[in-house]
Amino acid sequence: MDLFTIGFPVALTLINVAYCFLGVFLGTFVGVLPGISGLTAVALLLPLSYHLDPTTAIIMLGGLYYGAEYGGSTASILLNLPGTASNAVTCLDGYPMARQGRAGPALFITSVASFIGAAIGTVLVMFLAPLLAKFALSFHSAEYFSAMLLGLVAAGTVGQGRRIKSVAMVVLGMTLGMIGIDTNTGVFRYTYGIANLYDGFPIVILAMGFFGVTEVINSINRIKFVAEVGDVSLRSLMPTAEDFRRITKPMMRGAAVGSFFGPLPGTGPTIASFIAYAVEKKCHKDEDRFGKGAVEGIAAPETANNAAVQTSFIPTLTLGIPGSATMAVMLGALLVHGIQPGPKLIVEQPELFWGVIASFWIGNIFLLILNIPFIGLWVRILKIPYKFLYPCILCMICIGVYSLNNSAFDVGMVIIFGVFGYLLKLMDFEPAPMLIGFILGPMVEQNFRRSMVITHGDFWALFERPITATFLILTLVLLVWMIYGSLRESR
Amino acid sequence: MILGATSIVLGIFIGVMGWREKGRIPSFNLLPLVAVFAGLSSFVLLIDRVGIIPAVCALILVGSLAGHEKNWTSTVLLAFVFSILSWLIFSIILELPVVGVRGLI
Repeated sequence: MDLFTIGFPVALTLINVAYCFLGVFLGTFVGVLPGISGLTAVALLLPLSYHLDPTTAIIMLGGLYYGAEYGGSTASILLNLPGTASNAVTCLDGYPMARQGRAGPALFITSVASFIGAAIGTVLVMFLAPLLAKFALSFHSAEYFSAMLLGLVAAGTVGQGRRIKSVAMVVLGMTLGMIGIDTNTGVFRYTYGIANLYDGFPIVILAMGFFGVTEVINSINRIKFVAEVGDVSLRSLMPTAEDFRRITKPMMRGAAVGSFFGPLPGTGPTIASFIAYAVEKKCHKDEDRFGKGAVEGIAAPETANNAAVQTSFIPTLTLGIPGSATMAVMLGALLVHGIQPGPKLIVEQPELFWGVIASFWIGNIFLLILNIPFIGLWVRILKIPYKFLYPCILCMICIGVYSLNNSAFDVGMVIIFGVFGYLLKLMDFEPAPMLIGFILGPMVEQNFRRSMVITHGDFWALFERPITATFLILTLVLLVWMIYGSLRESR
Repeated sequence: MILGATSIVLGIFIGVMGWREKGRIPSFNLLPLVAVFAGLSSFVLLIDRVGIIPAVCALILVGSLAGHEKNWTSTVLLAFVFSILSWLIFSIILELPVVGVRGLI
């Protein structure tokens, strides 16, 4: 097995274990705190990752991402405030459990469920990613073009909220992605004569503005907690045998739902957790127990979101197509190091691929330890007032962006995006599809041009390739479904 | 071109949709918006001209105006500690070309 011969030796080097621990520790930290999402954390640490070896960088950023899924449930259970969006469902049954004095078992169950979900997800990555990569080796630019187009359209149509607004955000992201010199023709696009824009700008700036600054503005004076959290003792954590019996099947169902939605473009842990909850509700005859502290209602979505987080690495690492905004940012991190993820990644950079997967195991074991014996620490972190926290976050945003190029102009762009993002958020425009558009847009363009060169500009020749045709037809179906759906909505 | 046109068409479409619905005016978090904007802007203005320590101090002090509850002693302390800390990390440990206070350190 390559995992043991290549992966663990890489992941177990001191520096990688240290950064893996840093990633999951900070991930849990931001996950616990409402008002900072995993994506913001990934964006915040992105500038640091530029100084690291690419494998170490992805190990750390990955740790942040899945660590945040563990931490997020703590605030859901104790405060009825989701730490991250994908833990929102956990509030429904987690908070009632805490009100009944069963906060301890709820926290224990979510940690175990998260671990099971992550473990199943990682096993799937190990087996499916090499298979998918082998399949994708036959891909040419035409196939990439169509697969990425499908990803783009899915990002706009499948997400939460109004579909048409998501589509508009994808288009906006693509427009922003076009900024700079066109690599094929050397034409300046959307630069308006500003020299700093000639090379375009990195995704960090966009992510920091739209997620970091926007979230801070949105959370100030909205998040009030402090006194109402009690301490959770170790002894109170243990669930009853009855609880264990009840959560086994829901965890399996949750893992299945999560692993299905994780790699799909446009969906992700949040959608997976909501669907897992809905499925769980359907599977039980006594539906009215849900919402009143049913253990099944926290086990299933918590397994699902972690399974989805791990499996979302499959399309990113094997095809180079990010399924979610966080993965888009992570792809950006790899691109900075000059690594273009694709089907050859597993063969050409086995240390990176297997090292990252081995680090999933290490990181999740760290998380299990951090979240069960040390749960009291995280509960205490919930008491840090937000008024001290947000100046620190702002500070990290500023210095992080500044340190990229020593450019105050970049920080200025973050401010503009932040304010703009906040105004968009007020009007219910979700920023996540925009990030996917930003990363995928230029890639779609490049592959489209390449395949047009091969077919001598004949668009219909694309349909002669079976895989390309399938992707294009799927894209068309999604588009029609989206237009039909939004027409029905507006009626 | 195509993207620009698509944006405009989508924009008009969303506008029309919004027109036809009964609107709920979103609650506006104005004070934080202005304070965060001003704080970040002061960072941008100060970092190249005066250095990282005053820039971070200004960011934290101005940014803190957003909160309803104010506690000046702790905010000043936070600004002080954070600015020194970021200077230490960035210009001393990571050796980035940032000055602490121009002309002094």
